[in-house]
This record gives sequence, structure tokens and C-alpha cells, in this order.
Amino acid sequence: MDDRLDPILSEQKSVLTKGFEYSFVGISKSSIDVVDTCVSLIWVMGNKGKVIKPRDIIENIQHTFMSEEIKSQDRFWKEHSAGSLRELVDNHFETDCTRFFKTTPIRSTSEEDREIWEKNRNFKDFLNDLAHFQVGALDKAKIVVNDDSVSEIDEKVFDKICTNFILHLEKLFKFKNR
Amino acid sequence: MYQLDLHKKIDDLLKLNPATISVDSVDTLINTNTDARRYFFDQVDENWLNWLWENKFLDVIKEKSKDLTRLSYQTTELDYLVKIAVKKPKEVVDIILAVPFSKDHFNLEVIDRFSWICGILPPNELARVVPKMRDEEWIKLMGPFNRGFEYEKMFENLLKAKEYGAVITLAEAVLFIRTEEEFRSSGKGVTTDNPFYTNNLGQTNVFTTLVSVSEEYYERALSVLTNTLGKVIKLGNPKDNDVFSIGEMFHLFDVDFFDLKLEENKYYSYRDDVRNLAAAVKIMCEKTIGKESINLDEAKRLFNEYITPLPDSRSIWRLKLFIWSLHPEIFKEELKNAFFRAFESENHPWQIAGGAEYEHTLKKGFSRLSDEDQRSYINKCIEFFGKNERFQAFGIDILSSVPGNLITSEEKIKIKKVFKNDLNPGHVPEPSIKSQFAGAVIPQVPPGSEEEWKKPIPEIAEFFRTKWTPESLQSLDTKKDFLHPINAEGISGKMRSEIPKRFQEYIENASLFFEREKLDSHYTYSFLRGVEDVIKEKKTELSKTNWDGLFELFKNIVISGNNSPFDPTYKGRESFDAWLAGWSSVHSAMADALNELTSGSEESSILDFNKYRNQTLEIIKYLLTHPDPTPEEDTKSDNDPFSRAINTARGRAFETFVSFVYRDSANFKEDKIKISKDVKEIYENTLDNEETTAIRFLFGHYIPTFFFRDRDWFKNTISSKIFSEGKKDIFLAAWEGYLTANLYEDLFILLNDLYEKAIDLDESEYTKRKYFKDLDTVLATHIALAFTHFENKSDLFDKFWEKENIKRQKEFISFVGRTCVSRDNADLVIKAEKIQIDRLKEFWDWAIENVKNKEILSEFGFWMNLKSKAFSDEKWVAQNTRKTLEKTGGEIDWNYGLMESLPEFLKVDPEETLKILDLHLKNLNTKEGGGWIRVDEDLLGIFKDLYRNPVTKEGAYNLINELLILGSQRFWILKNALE
Repeated sequence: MDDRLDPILSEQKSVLTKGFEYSFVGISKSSIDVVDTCVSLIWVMGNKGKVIKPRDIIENIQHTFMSEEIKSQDRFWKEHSAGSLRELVDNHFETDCTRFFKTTPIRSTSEEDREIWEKNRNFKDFLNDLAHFQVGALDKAKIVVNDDSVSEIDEKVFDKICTNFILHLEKLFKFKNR
Repeated sequence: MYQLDLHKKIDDLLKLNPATISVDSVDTLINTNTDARRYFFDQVDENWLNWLWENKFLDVIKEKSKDLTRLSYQTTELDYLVKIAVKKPKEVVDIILAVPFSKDHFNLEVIDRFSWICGILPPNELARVVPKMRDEEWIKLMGPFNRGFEYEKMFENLLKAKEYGAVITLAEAVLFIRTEEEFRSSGKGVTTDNPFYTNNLGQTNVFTTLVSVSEEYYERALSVLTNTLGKVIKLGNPKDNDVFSIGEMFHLFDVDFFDLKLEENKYYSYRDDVRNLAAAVKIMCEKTIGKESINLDEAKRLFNEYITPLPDSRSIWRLKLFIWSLHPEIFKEELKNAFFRAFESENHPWQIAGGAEYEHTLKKGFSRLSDEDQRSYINKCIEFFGKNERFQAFGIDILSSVPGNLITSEEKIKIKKVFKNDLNPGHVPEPSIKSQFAGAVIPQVPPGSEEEWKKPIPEIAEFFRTKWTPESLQSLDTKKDFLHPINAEGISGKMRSEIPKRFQEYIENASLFFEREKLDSHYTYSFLRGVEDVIKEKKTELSKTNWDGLFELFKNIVISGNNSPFDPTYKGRESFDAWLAGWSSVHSAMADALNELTSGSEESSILDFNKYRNQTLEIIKYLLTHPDPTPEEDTKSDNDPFSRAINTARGRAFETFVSFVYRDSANFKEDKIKISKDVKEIYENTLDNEETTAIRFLFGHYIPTFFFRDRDWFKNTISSKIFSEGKKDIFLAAWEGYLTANLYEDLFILLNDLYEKAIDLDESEYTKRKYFKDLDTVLATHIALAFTHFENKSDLFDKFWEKENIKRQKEFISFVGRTCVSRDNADLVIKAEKIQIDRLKEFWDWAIENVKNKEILSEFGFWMNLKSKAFSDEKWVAQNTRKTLEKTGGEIDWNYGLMESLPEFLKVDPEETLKILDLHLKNLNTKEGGGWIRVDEDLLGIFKDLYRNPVTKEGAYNLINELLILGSQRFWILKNALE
């Protein structure tokens, strides 16, 4: 229960983490703006028929990270969050990016550009496997965080992957044509 | 030689005519280092192609992959071929055709890049390659590395050029089906249950393209598609019924061939690939067998050649029904046999007649039966489905699909008599499982019971004991509709929707919803949940509610439980087709309803708290003795203590107790001690008897609530009990609970010894169980919060850093960075929350000097941020960033803030910026596998400024030189900084 509901505790000096133990909660508004705008554009131009905004997906997961109540009521919150996040790169995301944005990288151009899309694919594979409760999610997590010693997709690992995923999308959309 | 000079030499070489150059000189030059080779192939033009190929400079593409588990673009020679493929397509195709692949000798990267080249080739050249792709089975060799983009382009180009033969060959190359062994395992990175070799088949548009070929290619397209579908179906489950020899795959369960559409643009998973394959087969059947002008012989030839050989499965059966219905006159004999086949299996008639296709086919083809066959069919239908109650609903749907004018009035009378139901002329055939409703069971109330709910509450309450008992409802559910069962859950749902309509009446009669021996616990539970919903969601005006009835109900449960304890062993039970709540769930619901009643402030409360105070406390006292959770369950559970606690009766009761204490404090506004004796007594008794980690966690978690109400009591009596030296796991659960709560300075000081003890405790000493929060993380978070926010610096901080603990110390640095530095509006937050920013600065200086572990120091990435304006001394940030990177060898866990802040670093201190870039970029390029950076215009701009600045000019030049050798192509853009 929230300490603020307690008339005695609300008068005491306390400090809260406000969710900042998770880097996902600290993703800046400007990063979310970029991802929200660009993914929304893909959804509209690609006629994807989505009834949610990318921003809502990200902010809802930030809220989930912060809420112990939600997490304890839903033991599969990570899997459900992964399913929502995957929406951002669902369908033919790579093709759509090259269709609608002049500045996103093109896979065949160079190893560097290919790596960007491979990173994207690795994120998507991880989110997909986790959302579908596939055992392969752990292996995908190891690839995404580039750490073979990961033995469990705990909050920390999940937080790191989700954050890197959003920042990866931001970089992808802010990619400047050379 | 500088790498930049080497680039110049290569530039000069490439100005010459290749025919005049010795092979050895080129070989020597480009093999100086990797970057030289890469640069050469990046710069060399298409006119060198033949010379390079003849002199074996491209022979590396003939080598097999060394590592088949990963795909990366390392071969610069392939970059070259990709680059010139548009200019010299014929020559490039000649080279592709000259490089053979086989299962034992292939190269992932080469096939991948060749595939890409194929996507940009002119159609006539591509047509030369597609047979090779099919015959060498590229898509199988590539396995999980297939993507689909290239094939999409290939199909598009071939279709535009009307190269239909090549389209079909390419489709054959793409539509390889995995072997049964591969299908059953998730090996090779392809998702389990995906019959295809690629996870992105939808991306290729193979089906849309195949159905778009011209008429002369229809039959070949039909052949490829049906052949593929047959192979997919063969991967189905083993025989699971007495009708078909192959079990059904779930991929096509919810398909109705009559309204199936090809939708490659709406793609979610490989399941859609199978569905689209089926749709493409349907379309080609319509275009061929279904052609309007087709004659009987041709239709039968096509059917026998392509459809008859398909495996004997339910999906294929449904496909056949669809095809026969395309020409009911031509296939009237097949239709007759198909209709009568419904009676073949006594046990599984729906294998034949289930799903939408059988009913659609009846609608379209029944009229082709002779009058005698029609009468015979209808009579058989009535007899077969009528005799078995289980099949009656199914039978009436089938009979409703027969055109009404073809059923005689006598037959209609007979149907009504046998099925006790009329035919439904508006019946719409539906697949066995509709995708949007699959698995959604919606419990119902008995038909015609609507009026019953308008009766006085005592009468309704009586129904729960008589005709609406879970057992009675089962006998009322004659239709046995799996998705719409009539059961106790249906009645409960209805009750919960009725309670808000007559809330006060229900509350007045609340005591009627408990009678231990006569009323099922599920209804007591549902009543309480209904009441809780109304309060929680404010479904009606509550301020004037008289709650006496509800408290009467609570009291009766308490008395009953005190006389004879309720069985705590089950919280619920499965009862045929419903989940029914047991007595433990009733107790949880009691606690929750009470919690809703007591929560809220004095002003907003819906309950006259003081009137009900003692009764409420008595009920809570009783609930806190409920045996759920038991110590046995506690040790067996694989869940963390908090999640366990809030899903048990005693755990819910504890939270209600806390809520009660919040409200009760209004009675002690002027007192120093703000908690009553009776509350303390209950608290102590519960604590003394508590042996589960779940509830002990709650004791720890809610310490602040009790501490601030009576500090001496807590200090002298409670603290040592909560954190007793007894069982380690009990101690750790309470400690975990405490650390996951907000941090209060007074408690931080009071519990100093416990923090010290926790710091001394090693992770290896933690009991092995699931924790709600990682103990090291939450400990580090508390210490960090105290460090950043409390005016007085605790000695705990020094102790925390005296003992090296990588995990905790990393978390400390990272958390402080995230909370105070790398966040939106950090400068405003620092002011508003009075964060001890000077202390942070001192700490970073100290850490650079004293922390030896690179891994710990690498967490300072979150601190290296000038954009956030957390630190006013920007020069100092630049220096410390450089110093930290020197210690870590350029490694940081989080470089986002640093890279985003580079323009600010440059403004503040160009020399430090150059050093920072030197350390960090060179490290990124040496890190095994993980070094990755996007060198874009922003970074180029930084290098331009560094090169323009006389102080950093030479350093920038040297760094670019080094980066070219380390990172080659990805840093070539930086050469522009030197212009």
C-alpha cells in the first residue's frame, strides 16, 4: 500500500526510488518522443490499424516497472510487457522503415548497417520468444546483452534489454544519412 | 606508414589501367592490413571485375563458412560484387553461377550476399540464377538466417517483367518444408511449429505473386502450392481420431475455406504463412477447377491430379468440400458421398461435419441430390444427431444449413419433436474455433431466469441453496455448449452485476449469503467480491449506506470459524466446467471487502469508522489467525514472499490491518503515541505466532507504519522480534520486506546495526529461494538514497565501500547516476530534493582514486552526462570522465549520455574530449563482439571541430589514423573531418 495514504507517514521525511532502480523508467521524454512519432508514422502510413499509441506502450511498461503491486499481481508481467514492446517492431518493420524514412540504414550497404538491423532483429526475437514463453528467450537475451553468463531473465536483465531496445529505436530513427 | 597515406597509395593505384599492373604489386599493397584490403575493394570500380576474377582476387567467395552459427559481413570482396551488380549484372551472374554450393560446402555470408544481389538484378539475369537457388536449396542452407526482403524484391521484379516461369521456379526455391525431425525440434533457430525454413515467409510475398501468374502458368502454380500444402499437412500430429489418418495441425483450425482470404500484408507469425498458403491453394483452385467454362473431364483430371493425392486430414477434407461446391453439378456424386459421410463415425461426427465448410457445402450443393437421397439424408440426420443429447445442438445447425425449401413440413415437425428446437434459417456456418473467440468461455445463467433476479433478496438467496446450487445448474445445462456453459460462475457473475442495482437491499440481507452447511462457499465469496467491486469502483452512492448487515455476515463467519475452523487446504476447486471458490478464498474476500471499507481518509470515508471500529478489529484479529498460508506451503512455494503473501487470506488480512491502523490514527491526533493497546496486542500476537516468510515479509515492509506511531514500543519490543536471530530465512524475509519499502531517515539511523549486518552478509549466505527484489540491489539502493538525500552522512556508507562487493557497488554507482544525473530535468530535481551534489562529486573523485575494480568503475557511465546539467563544474566532469575511462580502459556500461553530451564536452574542454574519444572509441573497437558505435554526422562534426582546433589537430589526425586500422570502414567517414 502507498505510504501516502497513511496520515502519519505522509508527515515523515522519506525518500523514494521513484522507479529509478530501473533504467527503463529513466528513459528521457525526448527519446520517447522520437520513437513515438516515428513508429506512429509507420503505423499510419502502413495502415496497420493499431488502436494504441507507441508512447502509451512505453509509458505503460514504465508504470509496470515502478508498480510493485502490478508486478506481484501478474507474475508474467515481463512476458506481457515483452509482447507489448514487440508491437513497436511488428510486421514488416524493416521494410516499412526503408519505405517511409529516407534516413534509416539499408541492410545491404555495409556491415555497419547490417549490424543495426541485426540488432533490431535480435531484440525482436528476444521479445517474441519471451512473450511466447519460449525457452529460447534466454539464449536471445545473452545475444542482446552480449553476455553469455546471463542465467536468468530477471528484472535487471529485462530492464537493460528493454531500455537498450528503445534507445536502439531512437538511434535508428535519428540515423543520419551519410 | 600512416593508414591515411596507404589510402592515398590505393587511390593512385586505382587510377591506372589494370592491364598494366602486376598482380604481385596489388597483392602486396592490399594485404598490408585489413583496412587496406577493405579500402581497395570499396574504391575499385566495375572495370576491374574481370581482372580481379581472373587473377583470383575474388576466390575467397568459394571458401566454405568456418562458423555456421553466425552470419556477419566480413568479406569485402562480396561488398564489391554487391556494389557493381547493377552495372555489370551479366558478369556478376556468371560469377554466381560459377560458385557451387552443397550441404557440405557452402558459405552463409556468400549465399546471403548473392541473395541480395539477386534482389537487384534485372529480371532476365535473375531468371538465370533461380534454378540454381532451387536446386542447391539455398533457403534450406541459410536456415534461420533467411530474411525475406531479397525474395520480396525478386518476386516483384520477375512479376513486373512477366517472367512467370521464373516466378514459379523461385517459389519452388522458397517453399521448402522442414523435415518432421526439424519441425519437432526448435533447432537451427527456426521457431518450433514453423513448417517453413524462414520465420519471415510473409515478407517474401510468395503467395500473392504465385496467384498472379498468367493463365498458362495456373496449373504449375497449383501444382507447387498443393504440393507444398501436402507436405505441411503431413507434419501434423499423429492420428487422433477414427476418421482421418493424420491428426489436425492447429494452424488451420480456425480457417473457413469459403471466406479465407490471402493477406500477406497482415502478417504476424508463421501461422499466417500456413493460412496464406491455404488461401493461395483456394485461389488457384478457383482459377483452375472452379473456372466457369471448365468441362467435367478437365475438372476431374485437375482434382485427381492435384487434390486427390493430398494427405488424408481434416483440413484437406474441408478444402475438398470447398472445391466440390465450386461445381456442384460436376461433383454431385462426390457431394452426395460427402454429405452421407457425416454418419460414418459414431464418436467423432464433427471430424466430417464440423467446421463451416460442411454447412456451406450443404447450402450450395444439397439441391443436387435426388429427392430420394434428400429424404434419406434428413431422416438419417434426425436419427443420428437426435439420439445423442451431446450431438443435438450440432445436429440442428447442420439441418439449418439445408435449404429450408428442401425440407418437408413432416420433417420439420419431426425435427422439432426430436430436437425440441426449431430450425434456424438465419444460421451462419462458423469454423470449429473462431480465432477471436478461441478459448473464451462465457458462463451463463439458466435461460428464463431473468425474472428471478427481480424478486426480494431472501428469495434469491434461497435459490442459491436450491435450484442454483452448482450441482443443480449442471443438470439445467442441457445444451452443453463448451463456450457458454450454464454453471455457478454464470450465476455468480450475474449476482455481481445485480448487487449495485439494489446495493442497500443486498447489504441488509448480507447475512443470508453465509450458511456453512447449506450455501456453497462460492456464493459467499461471490457476494463479498460483488460488495467489494461496488465500493472500489464507486458503482453507487455509498455515503448513506447502513453496513450493519455486512458486519452481521462477517460476525457469523467469525463465530462459525471460531467454533469449528474452516478447511484451509483449498482455496478453490474445479467443478466440471467451473472454478468454485473455497473457504480460504472467502476469507481473502472478507479481508478485501473490509479493506475497501476502512481505506480512505477520515473525510472521504464511507464508513462510520468509530461505530464499527471494535467489530472491524475483532474480524481482523480473527482473519490474522487464518491458517492460509501455512509454513508447509511457504517452504514449497516457488514464488517470492510478497507475491505469496498478497494471495493468501492472512496476507490480505495483514494489509487490511495496516489500512485499519491508518484510519485509527485519527483517534490519536493529539497523542504522542498514535496506536492503541488492542492494536499493538494483535500485532504482537500475530508476530509471535508467525512462521512464514510471506507474512514476515509484510511485517518488515510495513515497519514504518508502526514505528512512527510508537517509536519506543517498536524500538524496545518489536524490532528484535521482527529481526530475531532465529531462522535465517525468516530474518531475511523481514529484511527484504523492509528494504523494499520507502526509506525513512529515523529508521535508517535506528536500524544501523542491521544495515551493518547486511553489509557483512555475503550473497552465498542468502537462503536459496525466490526473492521479491534482489537483496543486494535493494540494500545498495537504500544506502545510495541515504547518501544522496540525507544531510548527515552515515558511517554505513564507508562500511559499504570498505568491503568489496561488485554487484552492490555497481548498483550503488549506477543507481545514483540514474536518479541524480542521467534523468530529465536533473538540475531541477537536485534542487527540489536537496540532493547532496557536493557529496556526489567528492565520491566520484574518491572512487577514481580508490576503487580498483574496472567493472565497478564502468558504472559511472550514467554520471558522464553534461546535457542533464546535474553538475555545474563541467570541466571537472570532463576530467573525471577521462580519468574514469583511463581506469576502465575506455569501458563504460552506459555510453548513451556520454555520446549525446559530446558537443557539450567539446565546448568545455576539447583536449579532454579528444582523450575521452580516444579511450572510448578505441575500446569499442577492441571489445570482443560487443563494440558497436554508429559513426554519424554528429560524431563527424565533433572530429571536424577537433581537427580545426590547433591544440587538438594533430591528436585528431592520429586518432582517425588509429581508428581506420581498428574499425576500418565504419570510421572512413571521419576522413571527411580532415578536408
